[in-house]
Amino acid sequence: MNNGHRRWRARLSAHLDGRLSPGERNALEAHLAGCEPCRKELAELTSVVALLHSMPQVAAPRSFTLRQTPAPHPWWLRYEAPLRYASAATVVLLVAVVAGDLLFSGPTLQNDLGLMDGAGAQGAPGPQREAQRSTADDSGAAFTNLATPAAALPDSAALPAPTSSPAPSPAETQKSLASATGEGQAPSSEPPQESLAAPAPTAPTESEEPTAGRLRPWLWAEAALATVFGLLLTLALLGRRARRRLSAR
Amino acid sequence: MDNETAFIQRSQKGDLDAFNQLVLHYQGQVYNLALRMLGSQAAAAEASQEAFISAYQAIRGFRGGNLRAWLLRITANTCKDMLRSARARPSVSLESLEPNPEATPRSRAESPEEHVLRSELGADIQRGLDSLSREQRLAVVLVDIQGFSYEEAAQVMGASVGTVKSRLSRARENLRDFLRRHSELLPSQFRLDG
Repeated sequence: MNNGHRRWRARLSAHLDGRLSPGERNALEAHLAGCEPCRKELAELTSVVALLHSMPQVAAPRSFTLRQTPAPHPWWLRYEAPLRYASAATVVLLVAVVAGDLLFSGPTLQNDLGLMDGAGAQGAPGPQREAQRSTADDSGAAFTNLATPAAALPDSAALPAPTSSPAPSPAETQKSLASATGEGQAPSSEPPQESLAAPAPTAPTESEEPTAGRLRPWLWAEAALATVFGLLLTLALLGRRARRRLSAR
Repeated sequence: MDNETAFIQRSQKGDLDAFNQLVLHYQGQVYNLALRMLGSQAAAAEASQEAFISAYQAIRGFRGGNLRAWLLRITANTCKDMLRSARARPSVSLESLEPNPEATPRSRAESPEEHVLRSELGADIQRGLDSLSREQRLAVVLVDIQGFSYEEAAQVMGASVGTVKSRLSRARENLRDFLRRHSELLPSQFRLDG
């Protein structure tokens, strides 16, 4: 069928129902007068419509009157479909944020993980490790809970002095320790404590705060999106269950 | 329906008896739409009941207008949900499809053979309807079987009149192609030349 016939045949159905404008009807009838294939098509469609008209109306098998007042829908049930779409959108956003976290915070993330590995490899956590953690996230973010409060930090004189276990001890650690204990010692001029004597194996001090500062927004975003997704998914599933329960009568 | 507005208002205030009057008036149309959409009497009965329950719960939001279109829209959405969840299993029981005696009277008495032929033909047409997409099926059921105008069908479908027109056109063509493959059952006056 060429495009010309297709254009005319697209109007046949509406022509059957008298839904063409006078101009369209006249043009179609003029075309039909000289086109047998289109006349045949019109005849076939006419037969199909007549068949459909002949389909009987079937009696309802029973009465569908309600015997008791149905329980009202939970107010949030009407939002079941939007909740599902919102859940899907949240997942997409979460994946994007995680990807962005890995892509853009990769080096700093590795640094952070390296620091954590370095701290974790030294056996039981001790005050100095906790002090390092509080230093690494000085503004008090993810590791704050792990950090020993300053007041609980032992006095520097009371710190054990193991020499066999090298402790990565950035100067920043000493600085925060000193300020926390109120000693007011300048970290750079102060000889490192024996327990904190080992040089920092990884990034210098200046990179740790920026590392923590760049990482936190991504983590917060991921945690927030994961929470939102969990809430939306729960509501959507509850809605589906409630709808099934309401309809199973 | 006489006093339909009064029944609607009473239903909106929680009068179940008033709502049931509306059910009795429209249940035939609701059931037939569901039957043609789902192709199964059991599924159509389930869909009809669900539709009326949903209608009762939503009637406070009905702001006037065409109640029939509003009810049938709920029915169509219920049917689509069931089709989507594949709860409907299309199967037509020819023996139990009793025509409604109050339906459009035939022009002459029908012989038993003609009745059987019509029943088998009806089953074939239903299979043809089942082969259509949901939207095309709804368009042809509303306009060609239920006798709705394009405008009322557009209200039920939540679409424009132009959309109804194009879906109906494609549905009729697809049905024509389906019936060509089963033309041996078509009465002579309906026979399609393949």
